[in-house]
Amino acid sequence: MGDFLKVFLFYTWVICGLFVFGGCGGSPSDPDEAKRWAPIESLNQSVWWMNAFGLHDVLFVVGGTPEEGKLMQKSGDEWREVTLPESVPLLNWGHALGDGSVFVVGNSGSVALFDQEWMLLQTPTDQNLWGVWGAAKNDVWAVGGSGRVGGEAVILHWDGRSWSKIDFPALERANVFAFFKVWGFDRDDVYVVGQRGAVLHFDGDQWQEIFVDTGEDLISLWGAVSMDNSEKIMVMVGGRSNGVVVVGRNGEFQTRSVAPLPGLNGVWMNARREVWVAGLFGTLARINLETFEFVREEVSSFRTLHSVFGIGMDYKITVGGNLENVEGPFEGIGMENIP
Amino acid sequence: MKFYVSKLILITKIFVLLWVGCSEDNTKDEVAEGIFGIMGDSVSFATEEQKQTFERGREVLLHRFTEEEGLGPHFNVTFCGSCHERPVVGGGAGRYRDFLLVSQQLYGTSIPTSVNGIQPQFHTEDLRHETDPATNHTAKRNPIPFFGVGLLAEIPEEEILSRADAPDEDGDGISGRPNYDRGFVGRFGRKSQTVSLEGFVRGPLFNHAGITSFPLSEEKKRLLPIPSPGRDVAFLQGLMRWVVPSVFAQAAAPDDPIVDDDDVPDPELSEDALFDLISFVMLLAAPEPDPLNAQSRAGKDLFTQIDCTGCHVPALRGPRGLIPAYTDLLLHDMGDELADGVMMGVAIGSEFRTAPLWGVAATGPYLHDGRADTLRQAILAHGGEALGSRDRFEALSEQEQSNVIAFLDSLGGSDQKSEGLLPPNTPLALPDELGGPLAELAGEERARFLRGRDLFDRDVFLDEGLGNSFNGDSCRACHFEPVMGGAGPQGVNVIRYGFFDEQGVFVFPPTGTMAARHQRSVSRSEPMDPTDEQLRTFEVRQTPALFGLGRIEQVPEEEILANEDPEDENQDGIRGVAHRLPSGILGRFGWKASIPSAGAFTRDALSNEIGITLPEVSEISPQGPESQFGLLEDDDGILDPEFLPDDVESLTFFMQQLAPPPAPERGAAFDEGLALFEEVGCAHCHVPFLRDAEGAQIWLYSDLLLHDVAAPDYKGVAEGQATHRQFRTPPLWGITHTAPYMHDGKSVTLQKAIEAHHTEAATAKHNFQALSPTEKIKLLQWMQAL
Repeated sequence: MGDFLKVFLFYTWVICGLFVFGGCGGSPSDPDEAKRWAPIESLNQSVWWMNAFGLHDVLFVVGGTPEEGKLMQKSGDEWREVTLPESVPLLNWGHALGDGSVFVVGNSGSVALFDQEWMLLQTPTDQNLWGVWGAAKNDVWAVGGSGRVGGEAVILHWDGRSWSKIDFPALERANVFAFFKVWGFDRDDVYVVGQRGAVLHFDGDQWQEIFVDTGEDLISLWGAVSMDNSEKIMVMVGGRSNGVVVVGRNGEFQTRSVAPLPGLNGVWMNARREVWVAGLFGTLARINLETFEFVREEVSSFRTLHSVFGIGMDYKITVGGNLENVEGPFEGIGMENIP
Repeated sequence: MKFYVSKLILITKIFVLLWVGCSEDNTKDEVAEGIFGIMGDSVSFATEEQKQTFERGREVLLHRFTEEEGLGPHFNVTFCGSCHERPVVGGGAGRYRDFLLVSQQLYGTSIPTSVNGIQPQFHTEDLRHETDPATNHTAKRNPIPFFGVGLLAEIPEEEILSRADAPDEDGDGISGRPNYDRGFVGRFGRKSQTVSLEGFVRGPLFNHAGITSFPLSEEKKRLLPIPSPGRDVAFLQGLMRWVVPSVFAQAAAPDDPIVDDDDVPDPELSEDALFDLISFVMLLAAPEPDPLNAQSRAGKDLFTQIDCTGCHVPALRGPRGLIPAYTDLLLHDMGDELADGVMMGVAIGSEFRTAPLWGVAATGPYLHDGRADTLRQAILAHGGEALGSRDRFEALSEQEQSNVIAFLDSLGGSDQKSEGLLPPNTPLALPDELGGPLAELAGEERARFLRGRDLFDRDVFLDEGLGNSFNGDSCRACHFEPVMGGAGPQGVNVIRYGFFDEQGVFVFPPTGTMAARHQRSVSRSEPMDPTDEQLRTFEVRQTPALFGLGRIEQVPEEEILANEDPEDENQDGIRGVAHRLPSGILGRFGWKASIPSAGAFTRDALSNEIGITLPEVSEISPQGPESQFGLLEDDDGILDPEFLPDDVESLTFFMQQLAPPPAPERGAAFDEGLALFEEVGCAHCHVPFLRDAEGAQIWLYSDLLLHDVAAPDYKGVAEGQATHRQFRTPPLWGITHTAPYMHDGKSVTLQKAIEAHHTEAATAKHNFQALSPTEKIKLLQWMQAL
């Protein structure tokens, strides 16, 4: 390499370093800078963060370590830790309902409910619960499973008084030992995704297995209804190596590998039907639902992102951690995009 | 602030790496220096420290894992080198190491079943790993050689992507598209489904041997010989593909710890051992090509003219210069005939990675499922995007085709090519060495022994009659531990099966008790009898060593019968029953003493284990016991008999002449051990010596009789007159070379083997357990010296 190039690189490095340090002190002068993802410094970085969720101006993140779950709530610009009545293991997902009640689920069948106050609920399973969604305070679904041979994929239902394990038809798809997420358009239009491309649909009466043309693990899902109520769009994401995106329109599904995007864990769609996905190696991207093309968004992290969520049109948050490092030390990350 | 600091560190890393990367001349048009070597050697640019790591890695690759170290619970093999041995460690393997990819095909999707889509043959608890009931599709895979893979790991992504032409925009009929693995361009595996060598080591280690591992730490990754910085840099590479050379792709190793449910703590492979193993793989030299001669030069020109180079591009540009692997590392549609229905990453069933051709001369069989024994067969099996080239090849004259083959043969490894595993011109072992003959051989006998040895070693090709069902494609495939003619590890165990009726009586399956591990066809059908599975029982049997076979053959029947005591008349609890075969002759070989002679052993093994048809016995030995053994015909479409009389004779001669393991030195220590052996009662069955017709002692430590030494609840597989619980007393000579022990190989040490004895051997076992620790050690050391 010529000396000129070395000198060039050196000075570029210095300038770059100054630029980065320069960013520490104050607001960025570039208007676009304001739209970039920034770390949430007040989130504990020594635990995993599995999910960000909320409703209107209420925002939570859940996570923890395999032994101890953590729950944080954002109040104004501040994040504060919520103390549950008893210690719970890792919390994996949450769902906030319009009436202010909040459900969070976690490992070993853990469920906590906020209804005026936080309380732990008994469940009929010791399987890890990965997803929760409800149409109403007395109509909530939770799903989970170990994902390993000998485990059990479970669907639980909360009727306002107790959780019960719901029978679902024997799956044609073999070796499904976990369901990962549940999401619904309404009480009679609920979807569950899981291991090896498993998808179930609940029509208000019964669960039915449906096939969306993938054998990859489907990790998460989100939906939106068009303004004129004519179209229900469902986006499912997954893949352990390469990213997979499934787009359903009124029950018709299209599936694509979105490689080179790696495996995806989280998806969120806003009212304009703009879709963000989160995944391995700090992957955060927007997906075009028509073409399946994607545009990466830089979050300056190589940690696994497990969830992406937004409130309104502008605020977005993504969380994750070194989820592969099950033995610890644990590292978590939260990034937000604030207008 | 913390965030910005880490950001600066990352940027610093990028610049440092760019600096280092730029200090190499990336525009070299010459073949990279120091990349070639003899197959199995390291690249010459490796540092001394790396070469030491390489050697340690080779040891890990050859290490036989035991259950105590974490083998299983599912497994196909007990060591990595099982499948990477041809022509030397790090290479491919014959058909006996083929394995099955299994899946559930459901509405157009392919869902891996069993162990990550791999079908293990064995299970440490259940003996045979059950087929996942959901499996409705199987595809065969032949192990893939590793030579030069570290160099392929360094190829920048943009170099691979520059040749992608997925919609075939140039209209040449060849498209080519990349596969991806976690966001990086894949380059390893039959479908380019894997990007990292760490992943390509850890995955199969678990899938095929059940050995768990954790990912290398970031610090260790950075020390690997092929640049493999941590995931942070990999991440930035993902973002800045246009700036940062993609040598960082190694970092995209599967991050998840691999764990299992056996009793051995995870990880079962230490990080240091994993590091050494990955380093070994990364440093394996590319096969040194031969200088072109007139024929191979003409072949090279033809290779280009018929557009084989459309996919097998002569070289890719790496950071060290050109890497002449003759691959584009892209996926190509190879047509319906080769399609295997397996989807990996973005690859569909008919898509395969262009296989590198360096060293192709010595790494057959060819194609993903090893269906081609020769390069010509491999070329003619090409379809899809390669159909044009295939047709142009077929249209060449015979001489021109030979030229093309000569060119391919010149791409390295031709000097190391072997019909089996013995390197060319391997000298004969001496009479006092394992694998050597009984005595110095000369003249015709020596030539016959060598011919027998070569036949023992060499693979039987499909068009030579390899069976519809088979366990091995050569004799050596099972008998190689510690040298050719020896025993076999658990990964080549034979599986026998049968049924017990409701009264508990063993019922022989109508098709025989052998559940062969392999089938000639591309996909495997379930070989089992459809009889009630609840009543089915399996037994695995280890491959016994053949040393001294000819000496055992020389023991007269009356010498064996002298130790018989079927009614336990001496009331010592030990019976001992000779296995008299339907022909009236005594059996003396095999776990059930069902084989009477070396000739019969040859015929039985050739037909039952390899699936070869044999000439009428009358042509060899009209009155011999061999007449009951060997298939005369089969329906594989190959003219019967598939082995010539002379070949059978040479093979038999070789086995008859294999000397017993070298005897231990006699003296006080030996006598003391022997006295303990006798005092404990082992010698009741493991009779130290039998005499031949001349009265000479043969110290084999066996009475060659059947005994019930099974646990009270044991249900095995009967054979002939041997009940499902009886086994022949195995000779103990050379036992130190044949671990693990007992018929099923479940006893890792001699002590465990002794403790696994029951019933007739219960007293001896208890006597052993009652020995003082010093006496136990003395006895075990004595046995190890046999």
